[in-house]
Amino acid sequence: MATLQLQNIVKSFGPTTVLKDVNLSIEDKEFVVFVGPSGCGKTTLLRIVAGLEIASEGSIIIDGKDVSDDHPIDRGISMVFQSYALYPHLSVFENIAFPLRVAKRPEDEIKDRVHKAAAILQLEERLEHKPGQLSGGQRQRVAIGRSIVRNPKVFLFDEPLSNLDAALRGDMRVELSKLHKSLDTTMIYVTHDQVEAMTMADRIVVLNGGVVEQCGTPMDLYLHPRNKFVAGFIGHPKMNFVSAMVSRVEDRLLHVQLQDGGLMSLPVACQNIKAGDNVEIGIRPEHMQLDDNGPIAMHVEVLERLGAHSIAYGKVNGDNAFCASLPGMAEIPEGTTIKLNVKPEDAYVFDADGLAQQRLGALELA
Amino acid sequence: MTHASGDLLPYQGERSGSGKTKQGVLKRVFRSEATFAWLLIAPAAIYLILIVAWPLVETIRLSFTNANIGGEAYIGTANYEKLLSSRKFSQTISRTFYWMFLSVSFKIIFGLIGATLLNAAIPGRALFRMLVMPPWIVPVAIGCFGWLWLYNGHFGIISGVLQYVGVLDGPFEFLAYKNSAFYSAVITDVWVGLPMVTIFMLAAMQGVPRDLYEAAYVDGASRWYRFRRITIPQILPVIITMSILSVIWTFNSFEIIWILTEGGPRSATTTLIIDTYKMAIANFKFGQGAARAVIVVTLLSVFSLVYLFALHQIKKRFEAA
Amino acid sequence: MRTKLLFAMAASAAALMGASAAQSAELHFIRCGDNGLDQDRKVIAAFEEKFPGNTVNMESLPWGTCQDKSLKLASAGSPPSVSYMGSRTLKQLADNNLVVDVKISEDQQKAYQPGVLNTVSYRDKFWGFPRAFSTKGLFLNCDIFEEAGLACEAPKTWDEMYTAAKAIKDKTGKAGVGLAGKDFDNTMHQFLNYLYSNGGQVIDPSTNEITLNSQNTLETLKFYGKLVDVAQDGPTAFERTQVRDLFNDNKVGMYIDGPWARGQHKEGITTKVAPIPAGPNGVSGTLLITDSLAVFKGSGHEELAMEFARMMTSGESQYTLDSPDGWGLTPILKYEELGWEKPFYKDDPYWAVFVDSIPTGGPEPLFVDYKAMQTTINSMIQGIILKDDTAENLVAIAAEELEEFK
Ligand SMILES: Nc1ncnc2c1ncn2[C@@H]1O[C@H](COP(=O)(O)OP(=O)(O)OP(=O)(O)O)[C@@H](O)[C@H]1O
Ligand SMILES: [Mg+2]
Repeated sequence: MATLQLQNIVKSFGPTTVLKDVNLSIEDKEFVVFVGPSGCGKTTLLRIVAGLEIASEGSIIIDGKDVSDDHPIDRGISMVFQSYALYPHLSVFENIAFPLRVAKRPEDEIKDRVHKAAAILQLEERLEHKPGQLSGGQRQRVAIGRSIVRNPKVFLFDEPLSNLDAALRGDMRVELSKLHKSLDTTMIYVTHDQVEAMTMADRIVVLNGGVVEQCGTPMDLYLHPRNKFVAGFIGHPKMNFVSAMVSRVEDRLLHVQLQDGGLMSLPVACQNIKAGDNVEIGIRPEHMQLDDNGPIAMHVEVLERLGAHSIAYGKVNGDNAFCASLPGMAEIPEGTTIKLNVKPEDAYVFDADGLAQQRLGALELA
Repeated sequence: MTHASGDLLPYQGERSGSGKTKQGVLKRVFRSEATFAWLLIAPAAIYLILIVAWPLVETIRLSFTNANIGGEAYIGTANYEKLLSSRKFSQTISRTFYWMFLSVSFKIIFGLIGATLLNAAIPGRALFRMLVMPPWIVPVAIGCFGWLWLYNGHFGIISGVLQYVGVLDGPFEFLAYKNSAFYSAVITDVWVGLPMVTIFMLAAMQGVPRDLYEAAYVDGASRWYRFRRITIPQILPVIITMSILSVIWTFNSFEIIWILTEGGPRSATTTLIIDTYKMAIANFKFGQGAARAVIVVTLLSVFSLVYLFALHQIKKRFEAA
Repeated sequence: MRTKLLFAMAASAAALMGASAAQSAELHFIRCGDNGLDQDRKVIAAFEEKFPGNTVNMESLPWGTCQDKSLKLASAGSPPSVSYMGSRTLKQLADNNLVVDVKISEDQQKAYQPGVLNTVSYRDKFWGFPRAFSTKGLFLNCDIFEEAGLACEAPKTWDEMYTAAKAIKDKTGKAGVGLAGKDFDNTMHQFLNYLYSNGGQVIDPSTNEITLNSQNTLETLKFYGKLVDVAQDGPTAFERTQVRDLFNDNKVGMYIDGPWARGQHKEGITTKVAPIPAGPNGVSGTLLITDSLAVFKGSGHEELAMEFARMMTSGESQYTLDSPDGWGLTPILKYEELGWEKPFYKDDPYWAVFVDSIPTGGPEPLFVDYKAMQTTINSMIQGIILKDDTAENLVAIAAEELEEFK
């Protein structure tokens, strides 16, 4: 049982400010994922929570208690490192037992708890091995085992899957989600992989350049990104952006003309937008349909056929990179131009500052 | 498997026919992989025989003679019998081991402490790291002459300072008495050998991944606990390597003792190496010197074997980690 | 180390060459130190004029390495023709057949100071031409005597010497006497000065008996033990030149040194020199040390080499070396009998100390294994300095060990 609040966290290394006024509130038993591009400050924020780094300003509150100046052990957190940080000279058993030995627990209890953790993580067969004899996934599990024996209030994971291959990563995602359910504790998980974020998180925190861009459930972020950055970051393949000019603003409808002449009428509620303004239309690749009368003309350069769907990469308006995910095994010769359409309610509109306009169609869907 | 392999190898000899021409001979020679390998190894092997094996054999041969300035004659194992029955020699041996034990322990202990301090995030540690270097960089002989001066009782600084602060009421010649000379030589030997040990241990400590410490820190491990359960085991291979190499170096350490005391007073600092040198080189008793040299080589071989064995064990322990 | 084989080869080669090249030998001459090079060159020029067609290749090496180099060359089978060696090594060289015995004419024999020829004699032959000679005296630092309230008067006996040294130690806190105790040649040399002043002896040259284990040695060693208490701290760390440094630094009241010391004392300190004080069982004596020019066997021109060594060590050449213009040594020949009107030491009280003690002096003990003998004696001396054992035991052990090296 643990809640966690981050209040006005600022972190500077010398002259560079890495985190700028981060505020966050995490509920008990929530699985929160920090995502963001490399260097945005995810690890730093996690380390501040862990107590490995001291915030320049602001406070960390766990279960209502300000722990900003407390030692990690007093915060009731445990952390799994990106590199696993296993002790190569110790057996799997001793690695998992390490925190208990530090705490000078009795031998019986140590055995008991290590075996329990090993059972959860399917490591019973490996207890006598050295980390060097384990596979990547097994090492990962040992690192997790070491963090769970202590029964911490909050688990912290720093990109725990980034060293694994794609298949294993998929498996471990599921395992971790299960683990979260069975342990029933608060977890904070850092990744720069939005797929991990989407699949595992109760709530995603999108960080960019040291600020929280948006915080919400995965579907929230997918359907209602607050701005162009979040919209581009969440979803795979990435959202396409095309420039357009506003031709007319209605109460619940926006009429725009795309750069290459196509016309669209989109169900959004606009703020501060008037005719003649430049806006960007965001269209997710998975929302494209082939339509000879569609407003978007795409020159296909590469076609990836994945079976269930095919992804076409190419250009619109000359040199604007564009991507469309089409159902089934589309028969499109590379080098041809196709016409695409999108349902108005699936499109996103961003003003000149990159702020998203309220989508009316999607709201009803949600 | 076997019957197929012949077909897979491109060149099996039988097919090439005429082995009578020069080319053919060469071909035949080089065709045999073993011969070719031997040809490649030959220069190194000859070099080894000339540089290592021959002098070694010659030393062993000499150790069974009474070779001296006037000639030599075979005397069987007399040199060895004399050594084994000599109380002085057994004292030299135990002194040598005591000397090694003290010097190596101090080097390792202070090396560990020094490396830990240098590895700690203390201000100005770059400067400290540079300050460790001089004993290593300064030629041993020059460093020893410095120590010779330090230990001098009548003009030296240590005796001077101790008199000034009242610990001594007159000059004290550190190198004039058996115990003080011995421990002075140990100190100088440690001084000379310490930087290397420290630097290697520091390098090893810096090679320990930071997150191991962070993980332990998060788990509540104290500084000492982390040192004991992470640093020490992590740098254990280096500790063992440095210990054994130090044993060999200290065992072989000659200049330091020679410059400070020449093995005196009354043999108080005569280690096996000094004894061997005095006998063979200074006194021209090649036969007796050779017998000592053979014992030196034997002991060094034992140390080397221990070293190789330890390396092997370490490798096993850290298997692929 | 196929010494014999090499030696045999060298000898036969030399014999072959000897027949055809008797008139044009090149002598290899090894000398020590760089003092007096010009004088030696003059002798070489005279020699080459007298024996035309022959040349001398002079190699001048530092004191620390010259003798070892000659020994190494000899044991490798390519000996120098003539080499400067401490006379103490001659017995070993002779025993190992490395040097030839040299002929010294009756007249020349009579011209040597008493005792000098003993230092090169073994088995009734001479094994080198005595080249450099020294005797020792006791030097007093009169400033320190004065500081201790003593008249700067030379002690005549050991008791007087100890009393003076103790007074100095007690009154000034300085060392009454400076002792050399390092495992060095001059530690033994210094001890022998006392031993000979107490009627003692290490080995009897005529019978080759070890005579060390005597009451005389015991008394000497015990006296040494007493001197340690009034000497500088840690004699075992000192050799003679270092004792001299202390003397020059006004830290030592008395010490023993050779005639050359006068030139090495600091200006401004008042010194006095006196014969070595006499022990209870003897009269003031001194150690007679000589270095010699040895003629090595196997050069193929031993006769010629002997001729060269003889020229080097006689007449004007030898006088120049002995005189203060040369090395400033105790005169090795009785120059007043050889026609010198007023040799440098005549009517000089300083030199009298060093010359008058010659008749009562004793030689460096000749041993086949000289180095081992020196180590044994030094160990005995260090033993008493460090209070490792009783004087009786130390003397007995040393005497027993010496048996192996004679
Ligand atoms: N100790 C430090 N000293 C100086 N700058 C630091 C330090 N630690 C991190 N930074 C900087 O802070 C910024 C954020 O680093 P951080 O490790 O938190 O990024 P991240 O979001 O975890 O990136 P990644 O996805 O690559 O792991 C980076 O620009 C980094 O260079
Ligand atoms: Mg990171």
